[in-house]
Amino acid sequence: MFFKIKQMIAHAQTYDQINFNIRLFSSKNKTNNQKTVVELNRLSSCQFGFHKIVCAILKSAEGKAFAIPDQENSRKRRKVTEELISLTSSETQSENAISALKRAETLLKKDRYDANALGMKSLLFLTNAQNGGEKLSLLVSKLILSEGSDILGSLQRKIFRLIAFGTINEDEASEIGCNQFSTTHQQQMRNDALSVLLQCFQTFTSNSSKTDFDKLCSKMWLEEEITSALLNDILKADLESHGSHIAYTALRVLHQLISKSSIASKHIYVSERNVEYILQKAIDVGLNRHELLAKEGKRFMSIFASR
Amino acid sequence: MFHKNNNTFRPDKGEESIPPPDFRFCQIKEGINRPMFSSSEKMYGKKGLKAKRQHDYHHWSITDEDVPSLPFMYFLQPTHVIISTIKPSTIAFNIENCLKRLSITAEFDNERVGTSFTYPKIVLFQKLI
Repeated sequence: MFFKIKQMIAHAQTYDQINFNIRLFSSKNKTNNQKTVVELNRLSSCQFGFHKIVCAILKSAEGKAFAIPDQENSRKRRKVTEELISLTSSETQSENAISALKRAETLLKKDRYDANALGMKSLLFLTNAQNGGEKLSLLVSKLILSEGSDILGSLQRKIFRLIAFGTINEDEASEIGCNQFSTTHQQQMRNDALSVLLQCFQTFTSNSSKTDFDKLCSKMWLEEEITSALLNDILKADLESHGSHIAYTALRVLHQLISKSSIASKHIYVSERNVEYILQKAIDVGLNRHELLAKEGKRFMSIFASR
Repeated sequence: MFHKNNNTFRPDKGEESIPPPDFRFCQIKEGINRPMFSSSEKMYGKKGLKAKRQHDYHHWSITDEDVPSLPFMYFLQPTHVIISTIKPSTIAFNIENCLKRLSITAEFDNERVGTSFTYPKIVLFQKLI
C-alpha cells in the first residue's frame, strides 16, 4: 500500500539494524499556540532495542539530558546460561557445532534468497558468545577460521567471497545492481558476513596468543584482498547513507587483525594504500555523526602510528 | 518464495548492458595518485554514488516554517512527544546531536513542503531466528 504525505522525515538505523523513522509535525491548539510533534516509527527489528533508543531521542528532542544505552549488550536477554550448556559433553557440543555449521552451509548453497539470509543469520547467532555461550562460539569460530577443514571449506570460501567481492558465488557478480531487491540482499549478506568475521576474531583472539593466531588462522583471512576490502568499507563511510556502521565493523575487524596477526599487519603496512588518510577520514566522519566510529578510529590510529 | 533463477530477477540476454551497481566503491582521491582498488573493483560501479554525494542528507536542515501540520485523521504512534517551548529547528538539531552520540546513522529528507514524499507501508519480518 502506498500513500503520499507531506512531511519532514529522518530515516534512521542503529548498529544492530533497527530501522525507524523520525517525523516532525506542527499542530495548533485552541489558544493558537504552535506546538511541535516528534514521532518515532519503528520499521523493522525488535521492539526491545527500539525502546531503549526511543527514550533517549524523545528526551533529547525536549532538550533534556539522556542516558546512552549500552548498544553492545542490547540482546542479553537471549543469553543461555553456562550451567545449561555444561550439561552437554564437549564431544556433543563439537558435534552440534559441526552439524549446525553444515546446515548453515547447506542454506548458503541454496538458490534462494531467504535460505541464504537464514544461513547467514544462523552463522551470526552461532558465533555470538552471548547466544550460545563462549564454548560453542569458540568451537564455531575455530571451524570457520582455521585452515584445512575440508568439511566446511566451501563455507569459508563463501564468507570470504562475500567480504572480498560482495557475492557468495562467482556467477552472482552480474546480478548486483540489476534490481533493488538483490542489491539490498547482497548488502545485507555482506554486512552479516563482516559481523560473523568480527565475532569469530573476537572469540578466537581472546583465547589464543599472537603466534598461535597466525598458525591456526587460515591464510585466506589474512590476505591482502580482505584488508583491501575492509579499507574500502571505511572509505565508504561518507558516501553511503548508513555506511558508518559498515565502516565501524570493518575498522574493528582491521583492529583485530593488526593487533593479533603479524601477517595481516604486514599487509596493511606494506600496502600501497594511504591508510593514514583513510583512518583520518573515518575519524572525521565519526566526529560528525558516529561517535563509536570516531573512538574506534582514534584507537586504531594510535596503534598504527606507534609502529 | 524468491528464486534467484527466476526470470524476474535475471536480465534477458538482450539486456546485458545493465548500469553498474551504485552501492560499492567509487573513485576517491586518496591523497596520492595510485590505483585504489584490487581485483574486486570490476564488480563495483564508479558512477552511482557521485550523484548521491551532491545532496547533503546527513544534516537535518529545516526552518521553522517547513514543518508540515499534522494531517487529518493521522494516528500518532505511542512513541511521540509534543513540545511547545522549543522551535522545530532546535528540536531537529537536538535529535541530530543525539543520533550522533548514540551512533545511529540517519538519512534526512530535507525536501521542503510542496514536494510529496512517497513511501511504501510495509512490514518487515527481519527476525529469522
